[in-house]
Amino acid sequence: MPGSSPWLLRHEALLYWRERPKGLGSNTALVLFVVLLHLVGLLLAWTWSHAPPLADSAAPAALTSAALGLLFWMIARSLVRAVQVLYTRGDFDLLLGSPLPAHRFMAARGTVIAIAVTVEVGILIWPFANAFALFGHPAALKAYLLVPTLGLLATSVGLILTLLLFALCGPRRTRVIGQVLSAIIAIGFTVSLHIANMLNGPSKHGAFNQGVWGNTAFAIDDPMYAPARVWLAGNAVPLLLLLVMAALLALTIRQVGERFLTAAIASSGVTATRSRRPAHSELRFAGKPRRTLILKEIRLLVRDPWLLTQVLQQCVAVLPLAVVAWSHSRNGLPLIWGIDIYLCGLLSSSLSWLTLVAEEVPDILATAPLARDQIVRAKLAAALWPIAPLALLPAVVLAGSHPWFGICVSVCAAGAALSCALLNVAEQAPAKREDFRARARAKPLRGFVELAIIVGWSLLCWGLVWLGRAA
Amino acid sequence: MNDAPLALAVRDLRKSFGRPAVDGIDLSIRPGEFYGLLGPNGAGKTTTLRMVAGLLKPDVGRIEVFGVDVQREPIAAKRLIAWLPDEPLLYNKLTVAEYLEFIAGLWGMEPARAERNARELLKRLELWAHRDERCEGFSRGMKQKAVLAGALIHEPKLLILDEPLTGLDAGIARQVKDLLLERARSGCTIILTTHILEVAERLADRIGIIASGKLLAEGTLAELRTTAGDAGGTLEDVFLRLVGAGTGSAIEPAPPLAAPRALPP
Repeated sequence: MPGSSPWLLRHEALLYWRERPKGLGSNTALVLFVVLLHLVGLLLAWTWSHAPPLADSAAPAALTSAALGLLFWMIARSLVRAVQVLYTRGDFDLLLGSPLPAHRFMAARGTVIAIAVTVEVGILIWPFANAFALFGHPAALKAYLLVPTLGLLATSVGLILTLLLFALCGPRRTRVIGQVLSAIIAIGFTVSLHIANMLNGPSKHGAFNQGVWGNTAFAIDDPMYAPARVWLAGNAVPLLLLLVMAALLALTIRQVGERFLTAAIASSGVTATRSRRPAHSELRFAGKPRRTLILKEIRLLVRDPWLLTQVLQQCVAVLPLAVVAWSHSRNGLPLIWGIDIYLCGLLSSSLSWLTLVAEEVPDILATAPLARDQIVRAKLAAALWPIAPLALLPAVVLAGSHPWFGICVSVCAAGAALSCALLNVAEQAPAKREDFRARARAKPLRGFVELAIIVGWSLLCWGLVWLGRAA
Repeated sequence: MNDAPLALAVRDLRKSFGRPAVDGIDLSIRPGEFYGLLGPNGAGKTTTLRMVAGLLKPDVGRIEVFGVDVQREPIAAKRLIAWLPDEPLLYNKLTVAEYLEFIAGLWGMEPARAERNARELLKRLELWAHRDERCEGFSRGMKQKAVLAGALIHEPKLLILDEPLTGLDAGIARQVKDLLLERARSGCTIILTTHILEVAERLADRIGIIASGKLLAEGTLAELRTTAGDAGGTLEDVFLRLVGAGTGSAIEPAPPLAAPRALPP
């Protein structure tokens, strides 16, 4: 019935569905992705079933580790979604101008945030649960209760955090700080989980046997693992916990809903930041087209803290890999330099996407009296200059001890950076900078091509080093 | 006979997006002329102007700007043109001063001249006090003024404006109109599309009316009245009559307003 809570919920869910990233968002691609995850899950479950069984005490630790990681990831996502609700939709004027009670909108919107966060994470987790259930671990199906439970809790926390930010930082800064905070939460916990696991060594199930903090602060029978043990004990408790979290979200929406609406109205028309440059400075015009273009790209990048954190998030995510590479160093030629090639390719792909594909005002450049090649070269330079020190680092650092190795890594890192950047030159359809995170999901094939390029350059580097040694 | 090239010569211009959007348009606009291009929504105005600005390639036809072929010598043609779209698109993270610096850099302007023009335009459009503020905090009117300053900073010979006054308040609209008239008087050729017929009536030397991708009529207001057979009509009357006749969906002009009824004592 129009105006009812289910009707509003359907409306909100429809908006959420339509706002999903294109590309992977197509139904066929989504089904293929889920099928692929199932295949990977089956492979993993098969491997697992042939490995030595876990100690009884390990499961609570593993569940606690995984649940905490997921919870913080979901809080980060719910924070992003809550901030989006405040700033992006801009439909509160319309909704609140209607004769429907305001709390109904908030209930629908809060519920859809919870559903969205749950589905986003669940779609990655549930295929593995299905696969493990098929291989004789039916308890894995509890993921269908665990993920929504965490989603509901994360949404409550996300809504409260957003409001706290709004109260502490004001409408002007909440957007950026919220996005940055969500990125920091996601980075911090992903990295802490990975590094803890990887430092535990390469032994099979090492992470699960020890838990995230298994060999440090907490013993396996520590009370902090008690909720996980209770969860594993039966089916009633997980169901009860799900209901408790649903009630908690309902209570949160009821308590903070009105304040959230006030915040949403206050945030309408508010922009993120003002210039920090002193007012009444002199005008400075000294640019040639190339310099002007490079300067523009760099200014746009450094003035967008959210974008910066997104780019840096990728670098930090490589940290666990770097730790593993460092711990496996041998013969005085650390594998960690391979990470340099990977990082150069990754950063170049991100920055060149921002400069080449996510041009904010393409009409200005299209009407400027410049050849397309000229514009592309300047934009490539803007994307590659910040990476140059990273590419040169191996040659400089290893100049004394392993000069040939250093030169090979630097050349291949530069090659990977340039190749990944050139991929974006071919990109025809312009995109919005806000879609930076979604770009990989929108074109998953591109991600594979980038990875193949980076692997190719790494292999070439290995070959060159081998040739150097042979010579 | 005057041998000076036309500011804009468009011959048999056609563009189709599945169905014809521009269907054989010819335009001849003289240097220094203020030309208003009118038409209902979807008539092909913006598509025509985007082709002139070099943003779209025509399927058929030829466009010359001051004798320079837009398709053969796009860069030379773009040096002469400024394009102002209906949506004031700016780099939100740049300040107005930086935006103007960027535009001047793209057009390769000599720094001293760029600075002089920027200073003059910012003061003229009352943006001087805001020159170090990022555009993301601007209202639509301020953004539109900033974009206009960007369009004028490189002293274009042909200024193309697509709905420049949409969404502006009366004060800002007046500033923009005054600046445009000033530029036209100083020799800049201006082509403007607008739905506000009063603006075209007041500003334009000549008006072209297009519908369904075809130029229905062209001339001064007096000439259009004659074409429409409506000697005493306003531009709105003439426009509706011509568009109605051209598209076969005649809309009768509104009857004159009745004198206000006297209030009862």
